[in-house]
Amino acid sequence: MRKDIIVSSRVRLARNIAKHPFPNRLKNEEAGQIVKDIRGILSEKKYTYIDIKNNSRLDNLVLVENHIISAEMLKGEIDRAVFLEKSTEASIMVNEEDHIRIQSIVKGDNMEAAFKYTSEIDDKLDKKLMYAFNSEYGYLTACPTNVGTAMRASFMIHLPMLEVTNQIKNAISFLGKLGIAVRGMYGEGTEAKGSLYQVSNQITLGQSEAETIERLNDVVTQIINQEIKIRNKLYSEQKIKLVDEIYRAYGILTNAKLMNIKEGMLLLSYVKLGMDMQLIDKTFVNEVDIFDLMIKIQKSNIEKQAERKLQATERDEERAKIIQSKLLSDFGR
Amino acid sequence: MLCDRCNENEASIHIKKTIKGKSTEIHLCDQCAKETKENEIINIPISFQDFLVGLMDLTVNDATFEEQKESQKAKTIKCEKCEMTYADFKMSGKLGCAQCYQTFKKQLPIVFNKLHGHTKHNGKVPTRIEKNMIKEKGINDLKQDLQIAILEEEFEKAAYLRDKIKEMQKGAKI
Repeated sequence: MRKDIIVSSRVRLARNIAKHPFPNRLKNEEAGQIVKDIRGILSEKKYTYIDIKNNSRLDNLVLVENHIISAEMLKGEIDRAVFLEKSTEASIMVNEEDHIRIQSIVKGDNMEAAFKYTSEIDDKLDKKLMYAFNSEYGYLTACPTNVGTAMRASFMIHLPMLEVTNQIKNAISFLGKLGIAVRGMYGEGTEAKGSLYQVSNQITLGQSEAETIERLNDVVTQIINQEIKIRNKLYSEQKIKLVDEIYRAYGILTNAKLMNIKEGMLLLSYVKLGMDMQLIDKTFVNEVDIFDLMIKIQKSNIEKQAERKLQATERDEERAKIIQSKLLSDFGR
Repeated sequence: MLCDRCNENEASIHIKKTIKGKSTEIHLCDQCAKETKENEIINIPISFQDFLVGLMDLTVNDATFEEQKESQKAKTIKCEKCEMTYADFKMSGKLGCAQCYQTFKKQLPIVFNKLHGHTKHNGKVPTRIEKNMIKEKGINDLKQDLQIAILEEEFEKAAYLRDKIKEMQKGAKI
């Protein structure tokens, strides 16, 4: 069950170059120079370079929805870029809040891989760049919340039952006391849609990377156990109600002609629960990766696929079609 | 302009609030405005920056008279490299450059302690520093050996160790 509840594991490292002011005090020529320098280091074919400043707004929004860059990256005025590593899908953001942000998201419960991928890129850059580092405070970052290891590790977890039984609020406030942050699917300030929560460490100073990951893992295990406990209870006491809920969700998703984002996320979350609890046959839903589908039905992803700007109703219509094309193997036949 | 809350629909309700001279704007679509209770609208944007600024004020309130005096003085401290003042930092919650960590070294540990419960790094280190640290450790070990050699009157060994330390210290500076 754990492997289904953990949707993805993510590590992000922040780094700055000692000689340049941080991006919030950076002049554009200097920002451009940093992008150029890093392009020189990441010159191998496996790195794809994307110029965020000159990229189309829609393409940038798709990158945000796909968790490749942060929404913060779109706000800046100075030169900024992202590099994508093909095999691991790790990304390197240049001139976000810090000069360098290395990120790796790995599917499922695999923080070790996410850490390894970011660490390898970090070592590569470290050989060529003089990082801003201080033996007292560690890696120096623009915001004092990141100083030290400058590492943020997070698990994306699916907690529909903690949400339904209203226990999620208690869990969140409890985690806050342990120095663990809980956010929605799209980070700071976003609501949890589709019962997906990003759980990450807040503390970066005084704990090693390994300790940080271990602590986070311990805490996440506790939450997952709570979620499983409620699932088991409902399964043994009210199975038919649960199955009914899941099949209703499936029925609407596979038949509706208009689907707004909120309803889509909610119903897909139910179907995911049904698949993970083996209450709905996986072949019945075409063995689809629900989390991938949740990203594909986000606003900019839909517009990108349609290759034009859509009105709200048109978008809801497209969304319903996308869902059905994925869930139904005979769609369009 | 799109709605700040759902990022889906066109915003039709615009709220501007000013607190302590700092203005923030909220733009919502009809549906989100309905779903959001009025008091929530007023309370929405507690950004992380606000939180951090609050934390720094707290450090002043908790402080002793001496610390408060120090904090007053701190407002005018300015980083030579990026020209950021402590007041700027308090406003934005962000430091301007690596040098700022030196410039505000008296004030920052209080903030670090509130945020992390620690003030000392304990994790990965860049390779160039790591090399120096290994050397540093090596030098310290040799120095101990040197002391022992002198005490035991093994002068030939002591002379060798002395030269070795000198050589390593040269290397460490590069």
